[in-house]
Amino acid sequence: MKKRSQGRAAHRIATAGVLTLSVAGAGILGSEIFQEATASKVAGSSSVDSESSETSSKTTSPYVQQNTQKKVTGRSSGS
Amino acid sequence: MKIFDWVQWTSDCRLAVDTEDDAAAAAARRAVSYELESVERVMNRWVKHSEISLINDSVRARGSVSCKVSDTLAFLIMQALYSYDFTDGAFDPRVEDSLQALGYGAGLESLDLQVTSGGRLVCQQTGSLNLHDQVQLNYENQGWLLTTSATLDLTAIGKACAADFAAEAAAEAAQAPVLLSLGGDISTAGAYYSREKNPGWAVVVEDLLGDPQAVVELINNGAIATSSSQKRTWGEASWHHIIDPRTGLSAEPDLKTASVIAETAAVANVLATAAIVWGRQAKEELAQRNCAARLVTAQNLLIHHNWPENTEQGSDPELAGASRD
Repeated sequence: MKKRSQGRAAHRIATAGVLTLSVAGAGILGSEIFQEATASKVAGSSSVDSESSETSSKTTSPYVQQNTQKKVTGRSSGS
Repeated sequence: MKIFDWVQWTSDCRLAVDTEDDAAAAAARRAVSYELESVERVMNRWVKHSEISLINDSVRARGSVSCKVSDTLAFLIMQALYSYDFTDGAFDPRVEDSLQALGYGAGLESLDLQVTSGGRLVCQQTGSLNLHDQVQLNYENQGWLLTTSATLDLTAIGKACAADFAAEAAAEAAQAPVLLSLGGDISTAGAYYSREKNPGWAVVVEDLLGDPQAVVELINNGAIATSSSQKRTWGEASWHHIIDPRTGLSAEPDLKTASVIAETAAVANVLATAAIVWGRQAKEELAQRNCAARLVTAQNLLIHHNWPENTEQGSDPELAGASRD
């Protein structure tokens, strides 16, 4: 595993606000990491629709939107 | 656009590179191979001499083991420890023995899943033992020291982390945006290389053909993972590979499918797996965590959390022009 890509992945996870660690800058393992992880939970930032085949919730995720006429490239299914 | 399709780890894989440069695309594919092979050497439970297999064998023989581990395995174990806390134990890497007891064995190297042990139930209920009491990882003398009295299954989280690592490496190698799918765990990277204003990736979200289907666009280097109680099933008791740590048995199939969008495939995978375990409580649990999610119940009802509007395509997969890799 290249340190470079491993570090980037760790950075991405850290910036997601769910984990702060650095394999390269080790020595920070311990309860502080897990406290941070626990603290990263978002409490009640949005509501969840009741069970229904209708879909009406407004997205607040910065990582997804309606398809803007792009050609389908990937498929996510259980594996 | 250059697209590579292949099968690895019994999963359909796809690398899409947003470039017309053959050499750049080939460099991206090589980078992916390098990253996946690096992860496989440490986490593959099907490989007898992988790092995790040797550790699990030692735990079975001696009851516990304390040993140096590689940076990569340390990273995956840290991810597993973190994910256990993040999901309040719904994600638990100590399901290895339960999977083996239920018959999820070496026969799964092939795509035709087979019962391999007769399914004798000696499953381990892990819920009453805190993971941190059994697994400790410390950095000492310039290396990682693992102490564990539990066998570990890092397959799922390893695959998702591999998707993140490899997508980053591929984007850097090609100097172009990429989408990497490893069996439905999709990581995108390199949006900053795009000349487009909005370099998103359209993705079909659908478990089995005929299931409710959605099409969404991943943006900002986002990731998506889908977990299913319908796949990797075996035996008359309809076992599937997502274990509920509270029982040591396959999770109740209240949900057929859980798809989660997050910044990394690792986080998305963990939450999607946990959602299957949470079952009817999944929507409340996911609402406490920062993600977008789409759940399909056993009755084909859809539950959305932070999911974009107008993305459902109906039950006919042809309507969406799905790309089946």
